[in-house]
Formats: sequence, C-alpha cells, structure tokens
Amino acid sequence: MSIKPDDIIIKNPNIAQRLFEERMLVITAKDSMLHRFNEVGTHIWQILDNNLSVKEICNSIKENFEGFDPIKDYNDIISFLDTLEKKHLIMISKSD
Amino acid sequence: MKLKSISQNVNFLASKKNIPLSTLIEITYKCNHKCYYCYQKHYNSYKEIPYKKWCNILEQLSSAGTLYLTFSGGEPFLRNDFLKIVEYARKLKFGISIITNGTLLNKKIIKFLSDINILDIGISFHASYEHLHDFLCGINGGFNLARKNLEACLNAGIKTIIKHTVSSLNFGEFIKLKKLAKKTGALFECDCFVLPLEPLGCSPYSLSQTKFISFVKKTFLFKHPICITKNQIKEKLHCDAGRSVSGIRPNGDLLPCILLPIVFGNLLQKPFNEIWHSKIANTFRQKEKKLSSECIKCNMNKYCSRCHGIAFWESGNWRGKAKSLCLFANSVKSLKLFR
Repeated sequence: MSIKPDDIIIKNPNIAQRLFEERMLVITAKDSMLHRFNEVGTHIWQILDNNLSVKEICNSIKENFEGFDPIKDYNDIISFLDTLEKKHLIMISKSD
Repeated sequence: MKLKSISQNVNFLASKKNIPLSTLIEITYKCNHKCYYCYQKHYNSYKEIPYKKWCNILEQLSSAGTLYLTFSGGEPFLRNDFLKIVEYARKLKFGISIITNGTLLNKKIIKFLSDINILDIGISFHASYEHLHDFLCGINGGFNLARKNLEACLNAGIKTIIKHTVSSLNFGEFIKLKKLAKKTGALFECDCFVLPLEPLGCSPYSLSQTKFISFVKKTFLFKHPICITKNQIKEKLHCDAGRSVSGIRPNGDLLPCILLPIVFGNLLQKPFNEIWHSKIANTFRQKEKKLSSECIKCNMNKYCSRCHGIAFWESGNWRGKAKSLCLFANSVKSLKLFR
C-alpha cells in the first residue's frame, strides 16, 4: 500500500514518548521497543499532533530545514512514514 | 568495538547528563499484605501526596526527561485515586510499569490498564503454590487472586511479569515460577537479594553461599566463561542512581534510587529540577564516583553485582561492601563463569 500526498497521517495515541536531548524517544506498548528519531524525524513526529497530510508534512520540512530536495526528500519522508506505519507508530487515513 | 543498542545509548547519555530517564514512585506504603521480608513496615505513618500535587510532579518529571515511570508501593491499588494518577501520567505520555501483589485487580481495572496501554504490570509471587505464597504474604487467598489476575491481565493483552524474590524460605520456587511464566505467556523476573528488616545487618532470609551457588548455576545464561575487561568491571561497580534513575516516596521525598534512602529534597517543598540539580544531589554524584577502596581494590569485584542500596541497608556505608553482595560474588567466582 503506497502512501500518497493527500493521505492523512495519524499518530498512534497509545505510545509513550519524550523529547530527549532534542530528539524524540518513542515506545510502543505492544513490544516495548524504544525508537529514537533524528532531527527531521523529531520534527515530523511533533507536527503530527495536528493530523497532517503527507503534502503538509513535506511543506513543513521545506519551511524548517534548508536545502529541501523535492524528489529525494519526499521519498525519504515516505520511507520514514512507511517505517512508522510498519512499527504501528502511526495510522494512515487514505485520501481515496 | 561493540555496538550499543538505542536503549543502551539513551541510558548512557541520560546517565552522563543527569537526565532522570527512569523514575520509580512508591505511591503509597499502605498494603493489604504482611510479607515476611517487607522493609517498609515502619513507614505506614508517611503522609501521602494528594492527587493534584502528583499531577504537578508528573508534569515536572516529564519536563525533566523522564520517560519510564514505575509505580509500586505498598500496594499501589490501595490508593483510591491511583487509576486517576496513572491516567494523568499516560496523558503526559510516560511509559508506565506497575508493580502490585495482584489481589486488588478486577475486570474493570484490567480493562482500563489495557485501554490506556501501560507498558507492563508486574505481579509478585512468593511461591508457585497457594500454601507457601499465602503463608509468606500473611494473607489467605492471596495466591489464588494473584494467579487469577495474572491470567486476566494476560488475556487483556497486557505484558505481565511474574516478579519473585528468592529467599531462604522459598528457595527453589524460582524454577517453578519460571515454568509457570512460560506456560501462561508471562515474563519472569527474579532477584536473589533480600533487604534487611532493620538497617545494619543481613536479612534473616538472605541466601547462604550454597544457595547462591545453586541459584547462579540454575539461572546463569552463558554456557562459556565470560571475558570481562577492566573498564567493564569499573562500570559494573557503579550505577545510574541519582543520574538516569530516581525514586520518589509517597510523601514526596526524592531519592537517587528507591533502595537508597539519601533524601535529595522533598517535592512538596521544592521543584524537581531545583532538588535534582542541588548541591546535595551533585555531592552524591561526586561521591558515587569514589567507592570505598575495599571494593575498588577487591579481587572479587569482577564477580560483584554491586548495589549501593543493599550496601547501605546492610552496612550503613553505601559506598562500601555488603555481606550478601560479597557472598554472591564468591559464589559466582566458584563457578568459574568469568575469565
């Protein structure tokens, strides 16, 4: 299932999280696995409180980080969101 | 170079920067059990922090960087507002563990804990069968309730841990409880050190060297001798108490670790950050770097499972040696598990 620009990303409300040394730590209750995001991942995680679309996430990255590459960085974001979904950290509400 | 896991890296960083990543809160000293080894028997008169103040303290812990929160007691479910406190802690996105004797759980509570996604619940078992468990916890029916609620927690999808303290009175039960855990799908955790009932002395229920040897033989995971470096020995002797670990008593006393009763300050009187970075806390951290020479120079230290809390309770000197720790180290040495 591919993630599309208008898909809405919803955080799993059941996780535990903490901002730790400017990086987000996230744990899922099911497996107690600890995840630590990098700077961009932390930013994405923080803005996800507002249930944004993939397009809106990309725009936010573009506004907040220098040198946004529309193709490479878009693919990186999709790959990141895909990983988050596989680890049950987010849910994706399909646009179609 | 050995790679560290995310968890090890985060712990290392937390310890280096004094971020209290894990906090254990004894939410009450009230208990419906009368366990034979309980060191909290003298604490019943402690005044408890009210709900609203707990909310404020939890907010402070969240800002200070605490992610893992363990609630224990006493018996935590004896506090009428305990679930409200847990619910608020989950709102603040803490990862929550609860340690309980399991007798006060019911369907409604278990569903609530499952719905709010706590990380795990630990249920204490003194033995694998009713007669001994009930005898050791001083309450008839304790075992059956704990056993029933163990299953109920597992059925509700909560990660459930059988917690066990190995002592001279229940020696051997750890093997049966481990089997029970495997059979039911629970996890199993046990500890072989018993704190003394009164400071300055060993617990009358501590294991003898023969029993320590038997325990290590049956629980040690490695089949081949382990090679341990000088740096690893140094790391083993120190702990994260007062750095990445903290403990809070029911009255708000902030400790470096719940087992080490050095009061940094009281959270009803001062904010967490002020106490955590106070002179008394920083002095503790400096002192922790300099353990007593008898431990540093001891030729048994590579076998030692050092715990400052046990040392404090047994000898009064938390930086010094403790009889049961030395006995344990001797036992490990005799098994030639290390190179």
